[in-house]
Amino acid sequence: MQLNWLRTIKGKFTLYLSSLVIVIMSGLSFWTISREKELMENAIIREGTAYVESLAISCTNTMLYEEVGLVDESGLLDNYISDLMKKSDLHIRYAMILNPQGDVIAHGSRAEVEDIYRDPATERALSAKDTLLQYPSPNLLDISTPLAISSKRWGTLRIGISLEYLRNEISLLIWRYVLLTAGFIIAAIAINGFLFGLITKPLKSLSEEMDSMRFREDVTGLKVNRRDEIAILQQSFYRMVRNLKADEEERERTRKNLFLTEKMAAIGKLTAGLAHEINNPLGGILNCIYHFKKGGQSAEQRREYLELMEDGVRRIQRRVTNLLEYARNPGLERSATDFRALMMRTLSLVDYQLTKSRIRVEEEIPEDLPPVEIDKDQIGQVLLNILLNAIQAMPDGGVLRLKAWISAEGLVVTVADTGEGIPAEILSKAFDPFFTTKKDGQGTGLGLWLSQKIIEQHGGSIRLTSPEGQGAAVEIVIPLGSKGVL
Amino acid sequence: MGNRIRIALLCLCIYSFFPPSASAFSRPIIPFGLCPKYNPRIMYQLYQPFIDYLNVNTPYRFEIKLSRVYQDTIERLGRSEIVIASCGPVPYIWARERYPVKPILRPLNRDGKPYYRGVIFVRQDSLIQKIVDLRGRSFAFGPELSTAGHILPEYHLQRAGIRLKDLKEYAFLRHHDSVVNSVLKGKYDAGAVKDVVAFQHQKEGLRFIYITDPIPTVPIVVREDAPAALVAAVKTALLKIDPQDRNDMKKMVQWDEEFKYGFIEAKDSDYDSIRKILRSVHRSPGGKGPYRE
Repeated sequence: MQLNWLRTIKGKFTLYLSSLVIVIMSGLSFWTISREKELMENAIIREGTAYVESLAISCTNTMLYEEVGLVDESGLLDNYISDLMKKSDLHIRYAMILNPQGDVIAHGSRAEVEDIYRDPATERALSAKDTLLQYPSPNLLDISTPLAISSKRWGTLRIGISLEYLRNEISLLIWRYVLLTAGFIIAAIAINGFLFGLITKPLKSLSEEMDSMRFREDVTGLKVNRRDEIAILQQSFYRMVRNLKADEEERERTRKNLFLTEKMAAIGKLTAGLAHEINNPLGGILNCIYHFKKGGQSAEQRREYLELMEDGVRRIQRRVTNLLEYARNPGLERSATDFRALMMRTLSLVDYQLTKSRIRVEEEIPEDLPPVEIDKDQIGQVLLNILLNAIQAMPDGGVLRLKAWISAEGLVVTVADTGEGIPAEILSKAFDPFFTTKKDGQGTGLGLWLSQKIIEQHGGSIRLTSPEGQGAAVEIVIPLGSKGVL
Repeated sequence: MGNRIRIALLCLCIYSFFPPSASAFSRPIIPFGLCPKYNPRIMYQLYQPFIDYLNVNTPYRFEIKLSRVYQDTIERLGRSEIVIASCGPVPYIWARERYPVKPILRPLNRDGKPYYRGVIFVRQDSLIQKIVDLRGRSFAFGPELSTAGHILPEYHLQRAGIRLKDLKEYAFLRHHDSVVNSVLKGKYDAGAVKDVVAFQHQKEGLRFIYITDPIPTVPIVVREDAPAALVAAVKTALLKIDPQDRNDMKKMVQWDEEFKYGFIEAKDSDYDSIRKILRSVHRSPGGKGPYRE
């Protein structure tokens, strides 16, 4: 059986595992990247703050000592800023020293010196009493610290650190995690495939074994070489096959018994007619014998008597042969069969009943019907059952209409009577086993049920209809080719 | 420009631009002179909180005016560039003999008394045990005009029979903490500083070999022609400090140890004992040039 990959256990498990990997990796990535980002940002902040705060001491001292007159500033502040700007590892975009009014005293870009900054970020930096972190733009960290001792303030040291490389690092990290996740998923699928291959390979073998095995096959000699769950399954399968085989054998025995029972019942029904059929020729023969004993016949008369006797014996022989042929315990075999001949032969078995019940037969079975692949004995029994049922439905005479023709579905045979018909509530149960409307001892209730089984075994169908007031009709369809299970 | 004109301009500045209800930043700045007994950074760390206190508790806006050396602060007082300052007893006497200045307040020490002491010390591992052992040794003095850093130790060395020329080597260092550092580093065998500084650094490896008798604490000095309201405001603000008051002490925790225990009023005669010491070391406070032989 071809399965949709996603509906296989392997597919489902792979899907679940991949989903799980994606969920776990997404969560892990989010947490790690957030943490990494935070750590990197904190590291930048720590490093930047440390630089700024340590340099602030030097700047403050310089400004203080210059104020006291202990040193001449002589560009020291510019040097500090210039050195700071050279810290390439910090990605400093700008560095400056502002006086308390926001005038630029020193700047990484000398052109900015003596400019006055009045922007909100500068205002906040100038009024902050401690080191202040600001983000004037998403990719810029502004760190400012007062150049002050206690509440005495000489100015503000301020640097801007570009966070672009941090964003790039984070983007790179995100890609790494995406690739890692993809890698994990591929690995998971591969490992999953490998593991499931290990698990499903014996299952597939077992499945193939199941597919190739016939239930009638003898499995008693088969051994299980594994020692795992698959072995248990294999043992269960063999046990099931054995049980099924035993059941099948039992069912076949039962079916044969039922078949014979029904056949014997049919023979019983034919017995009276058969006795009559035999008795009549026997009477003729005895009459001839009487005339022979009496003597005095001419050669011509003796020849006539002998011909009559021979004719009578042949009739008896024909009847007995037909009955024997019907009664023999048949093997189940198909063969190309002339259906019209089969129908005629079966019809001859019920000649007596037809005559006795004054039933007229209208037969429309073409002589040129092609041979049909059937088991003639079984189909013969089906026809006999149906004919007997029809005859029993017309105890006071009627018309028995037999038709056969070839349709697209195969051979179609109808046997219709002009009896009272069958009520609808009985019609639905007619094919149930042991269902009969006859008195005790007159019917087994297996006739139609067996007929249905036989027709189904031939791959065909049987249908019983009874239009109100028009008697009953049985329609049998048998495919011309061999589709049955025989 | 004459001193009177300078004072008049300063006062005009103070009175004209200082409305009583004005905020701190709109008030005119009054420089508060400080002698650099420590390096400038330490001076700001210890005295800016004191200045902040004055700014909050007086209607004036003071700013620290640090000088390079003690004499500069005195000179600024003399030139009326500043009208209020804090220097040691010797610088005050030196200024008093030259300019119209007077002491208005003197701080109390931890024991609530307006005195402090000078300490002569050596390194913990030094073999020097007594002041007499200093003969032939190197000595680090504080600034030349420093009372505990120079005048007192020289006085006591003299009393022990050791004159400056009997020392192997000596130097006048710029700040008290410079003296401590130079001895701890082994550059000098002994040094002298005021008691608060000595005690502060004692645990770093100092051993005291001589502690002087108490001398009057460092005065807050004003020019005699300083605005009376200014003087009154400063006195009121500082005299109300109660070292027993926990809230006050919380405010003073960052102050210099010399100033954090409150003040009393000071008068010129409080420093007569210092004048006596100066005379005994044959110093001429009014003389020019280096203050030593």
